[in-house]
Amino acid sequence: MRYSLLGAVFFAVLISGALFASADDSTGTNAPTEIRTISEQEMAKFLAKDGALETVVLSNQYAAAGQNSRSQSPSLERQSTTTLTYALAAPIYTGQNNNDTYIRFFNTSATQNNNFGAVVYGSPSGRQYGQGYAYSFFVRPLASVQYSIQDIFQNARLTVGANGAPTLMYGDTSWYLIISTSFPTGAFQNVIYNGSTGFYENASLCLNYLPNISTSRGFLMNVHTSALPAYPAQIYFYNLQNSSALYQVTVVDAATGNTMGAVNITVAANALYSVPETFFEQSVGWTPTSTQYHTNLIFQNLTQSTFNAKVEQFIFNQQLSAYINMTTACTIPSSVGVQPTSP
Amino acid sequence: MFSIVKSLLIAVATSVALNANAAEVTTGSSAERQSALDGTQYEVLTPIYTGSAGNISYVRLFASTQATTTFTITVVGSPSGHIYGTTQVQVPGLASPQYAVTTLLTMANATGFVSGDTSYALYFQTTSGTGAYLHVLYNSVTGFFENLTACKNYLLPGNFAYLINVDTSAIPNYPAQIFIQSAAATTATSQVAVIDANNGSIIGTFNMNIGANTVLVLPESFFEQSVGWTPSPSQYNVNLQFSNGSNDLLVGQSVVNQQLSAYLNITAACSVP
Repeated sequence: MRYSLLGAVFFAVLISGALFASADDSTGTNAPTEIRTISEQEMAKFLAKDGALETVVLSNQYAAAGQNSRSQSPSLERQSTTTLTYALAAPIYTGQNNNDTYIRFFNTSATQNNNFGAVVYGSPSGRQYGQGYAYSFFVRPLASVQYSIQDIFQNARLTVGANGAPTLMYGDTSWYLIISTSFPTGAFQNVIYNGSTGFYENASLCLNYLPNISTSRGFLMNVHTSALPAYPAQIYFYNLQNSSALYQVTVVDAATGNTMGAVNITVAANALYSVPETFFEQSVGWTPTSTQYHTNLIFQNLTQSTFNAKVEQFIFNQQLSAYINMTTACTIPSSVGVQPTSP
Repeated sequence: MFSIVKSLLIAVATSVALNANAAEVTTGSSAERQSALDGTQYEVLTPIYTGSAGNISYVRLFASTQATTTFTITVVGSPSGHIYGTTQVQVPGLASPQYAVTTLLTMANATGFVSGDTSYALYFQTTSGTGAYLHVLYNSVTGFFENLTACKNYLLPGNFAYLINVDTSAIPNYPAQIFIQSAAATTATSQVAVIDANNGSIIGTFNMNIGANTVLVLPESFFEQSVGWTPSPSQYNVNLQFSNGSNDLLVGQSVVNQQLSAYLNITAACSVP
């Protein structure tokens, strides 16, 4: 169970990595040529009902097993205690009770590539482990790419043991990551997945939060597509305005940043809508491939210059009949300028 | 399984009972009218769960200063924008009593949908700008417990960083873990206040040294022991206040669901204007 589920996740990472490696970084998103408008009447069937959530028949698409390859590489440790102006990802799980951490880097810019850095630190020593390789995770506009904690260890040239982590030294008892970006358009999620129970959770702790921080747009990152039917995503959209409004929702392939399409939605004053992610797939005429696990949804108010809405995403864990709040994502302060380049 | 459910149910039931003592509640009028609100002036809680498949939303109201905070809660129907009613809750300073959402709906006279509505939203304001809330979900059938809070404005660290409604050792099936990270380049000292979540009384304080760039992972029981406190069987939650003069602290809390070997992030809380 653990390995089959982990295999699926790592497969997703591998696919994302392949796309990220071959991506043409010279292009931004593809502007949709035709945008469908959905009226308030059409949206009425999606009005949220208390406690209601669409259920989807369970299917096991995780049949194909995979293994995590963990490289052997030397480590370089040094003392590094500085006042941190970057975002921090903690806690980190490296197999404790079968829980593993995954980090998702999201580039909120529609036009500009971004590079992300993840430097490994031990706690309580505050020492850096391995090499930083700053800005070594390249992410195209509007894309969000997921990496396992083992990928990040390996990127830092750290030797990953059989327990899924390098050896802690200096009296350290845990890991944390310092996340940085080249440009102030970065965000990240810290998610954990239990390969034994299938439990999946958003562990992000933020100094500054992403989803509704922009005055003009709202973001939901790494929303599960229909390629992950065992964990269907439900989107909640609440119009804070006391008048009806027209919102445009752009649907983006999270791995590549390619725009799948956009749809205009007319929403009533103070109305809450609850739609499955498949609503957006259907609205833009997109059927994800079996490996397009995630989409990014970008919401923009076409009626006013300010966003004036609230967006949320929940995942329904059908195995547990549990709702998991996946909304939280942290913004990353900008650090100066390493020009993003394709690897 | 049943012990976990029982524990949580007792916690919830007791919390509601305690609420009646800890916070002064004013039941609002049912002046129903068609009048949509400018939601940008509020923090809005949606979606809410009122019992479907055992899921019920609970709202924890937090007064982030030592002064009593008055929360005004307006219930608005969707999609009509119909205002069902308004109620007020007074929360003692630094307390964070918990309410079942069904209780708040009743207090605001939202006893049934009208105008074709299919759901409710709760609009929060305070008179002082010193409020926050947590929205948690508890399933009485499965025992699953989760933080559903999603905010327009999050409760962010300032001169103080807060963790609210941290499970105490009185709820042993859901032990809480606390994360503290210092971004400072040198060892920082934070004064930690351990506060009874029901009434805001400070149980004890102590100073805590946090190493440069350190992440500490501590059980909630560490804080109980640090102030020499053993919670009574009904003291389920504490609020932890960390002095944060240099704004270098990031704090978080997770609950360990031992039945699932799962870690649940309970940190997020919304700041109420």
